[in-house]
Amino acid sequence: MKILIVEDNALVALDLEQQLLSAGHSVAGIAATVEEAVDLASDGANLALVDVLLADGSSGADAAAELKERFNIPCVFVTATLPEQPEVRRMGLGHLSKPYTGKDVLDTVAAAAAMIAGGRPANMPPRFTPF
Amino acid sequence: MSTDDPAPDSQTGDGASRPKSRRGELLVAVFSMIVILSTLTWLTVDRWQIVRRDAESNSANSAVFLADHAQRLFESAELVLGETMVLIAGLNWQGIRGDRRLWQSVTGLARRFPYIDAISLHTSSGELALTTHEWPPPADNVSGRGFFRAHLEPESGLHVGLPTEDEVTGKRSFMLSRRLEGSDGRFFGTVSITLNLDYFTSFYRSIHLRHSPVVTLFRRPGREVLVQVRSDGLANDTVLPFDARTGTMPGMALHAVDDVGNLPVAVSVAIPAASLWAAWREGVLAYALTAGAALMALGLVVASALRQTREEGRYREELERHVAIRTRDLSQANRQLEVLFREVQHRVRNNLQVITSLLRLQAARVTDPAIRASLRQSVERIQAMGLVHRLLYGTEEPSDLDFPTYLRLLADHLTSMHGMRDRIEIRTSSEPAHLDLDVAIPLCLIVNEVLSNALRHAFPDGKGTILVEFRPEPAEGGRWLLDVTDDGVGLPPGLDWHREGGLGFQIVRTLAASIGGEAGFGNGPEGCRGTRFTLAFPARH
Repeated sequence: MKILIVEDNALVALDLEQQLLSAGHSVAGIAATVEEAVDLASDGANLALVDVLLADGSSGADAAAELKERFNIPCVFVTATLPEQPEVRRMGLGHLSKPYTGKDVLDTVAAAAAMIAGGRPANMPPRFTPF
Repeated sequence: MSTDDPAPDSQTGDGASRPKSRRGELLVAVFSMIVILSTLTWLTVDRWQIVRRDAESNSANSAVFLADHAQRLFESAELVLGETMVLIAGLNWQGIRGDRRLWQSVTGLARRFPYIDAISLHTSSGELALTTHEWPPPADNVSGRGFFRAHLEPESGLHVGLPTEDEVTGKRSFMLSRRLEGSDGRFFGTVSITLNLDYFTSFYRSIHLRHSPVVTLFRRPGREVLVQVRSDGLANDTVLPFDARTGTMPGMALHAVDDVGNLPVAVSVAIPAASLWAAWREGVLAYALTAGAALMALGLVVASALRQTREEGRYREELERHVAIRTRDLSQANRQLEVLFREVQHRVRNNLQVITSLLRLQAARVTDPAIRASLRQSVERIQAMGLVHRLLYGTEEPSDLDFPTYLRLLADHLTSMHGMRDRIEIRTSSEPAHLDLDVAIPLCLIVNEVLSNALRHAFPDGKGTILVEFRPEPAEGGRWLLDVTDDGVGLPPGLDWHREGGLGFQIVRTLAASIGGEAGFGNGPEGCRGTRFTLAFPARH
């Protein structure tokens, strides 16, 4: 699965990339802002893992909206606390809460893949909340 | 702190109740005024009835008394007439005229009564034959006078004449007369007594009658006034006549009339309307003064109450304004604190994530399995703390942890992380408990260590059950008891966990001591395999 990482914390992004790569996924790139996310998305991705607060103060929700509307890339928000605005929930498949384990990440990706395919996730990680 | 004006609705507060209370006070005042005025009206009407009843009773009693007095007087006069007739019995007019001894006897008779001015005898032709005024009698003829003509008829009885005034002396008098008859019953002449009206006048004035009545002695049936006295001290020469149609006097409120025996004379006691009004006013004045004083006092009380209500209203508005400002400032400060708290929580969890990521990145580069395992355990411990912060976020009491919920989340997290969800069951059973963070975080880490240890070592065949119970200790009041039991392989024989150097055991020992708890590892229930961990600690520190 080709996954785009939108995360402003470089260490966290690096860890995420490592977890995904070790599980056999490919990473489309690591973006720290909406602009970078849009640039990287042009190469295509199956899923984006998006933090809500990005480096330049931009919103991960905006990034998710851009990715969904312009590139049809579904998103999972990966953040400590999700904003309560209902429009945020419309932009993503679900929310993975920080701090997470490596297994949480992989189970979340598997669950998102099942949701994209229109099925029900077989194993729902405890920190993942589907919308 | 902001001093902006609060919102308009908070300024008004319960303002609607103030006009209501003012209306209530005014209603009470109006009601009191109505009561006072009604009482005054009732008392004045009642007073009028009392005055009128009193006047009626007085006038009736006075009329009876005066009529009785007049009757006695007239009876005496009749006796004098009878005595005179006895004295002249058998005498002719010539003998009567020339009998000086007779004149002296009749004159003596007249002088015995103060109210008799004179006794006179007239012949059948009206010539004056005898008068006690003088001797011999002057020439006078009364044949044209009313009383004389009245006695021309037989059975004419006692005749009461109209009052006259002496032209010389000014004395006012009236006459009582009787017909004289001869032995054959023919008209012989008249005998008459002149009664002094001044006697009546001074008598009537000498008695005190209430309500200043007009006392009138009058002749029936034509109601010709014989004597009239006004006891109000305003007596004048004008006689108040009776109204021919109604038989009453003008300006009088009450009339009491009593006949003088069988005589054609009656006494009227009439009370002027002005006297009644004066008596009524005198009685009512005290009521009016009392009511006036009460109304004035009421007015003062109402004015004072209204002023106080207005002042209270102003104070309350001011107080409400201050309260609204303070409330808004506090709410604002509260919101700011809430935002700050969320922000801190967010950063804490992000930092925990950064630490987790760092440890994972480190573990990925370590080849020694023991070191990798240690790093993974550290990640697990951070995850256990992360769960605490996840639960705290969004709760209304950020200083308390809902421990039963934490236990369920931790169990789910650990079985998921170890990939044992389908094979190892962790059952949690906890009494409702909100623990202070000072206790909650060490306790969470202890549970995490115990459960992680069980998941790693107790089930080599990958199947089993762990039971976690948390409840107040029954025997020891004020202590909580944590009981973790598994049906795994049990502790290695001879293991003394107090001396065991593994980090997990050390963490449990240290944290248990930090919350004043007594912890212990042992074997499962007798006859069963497995491990049992217990921790008892005081509920409050």
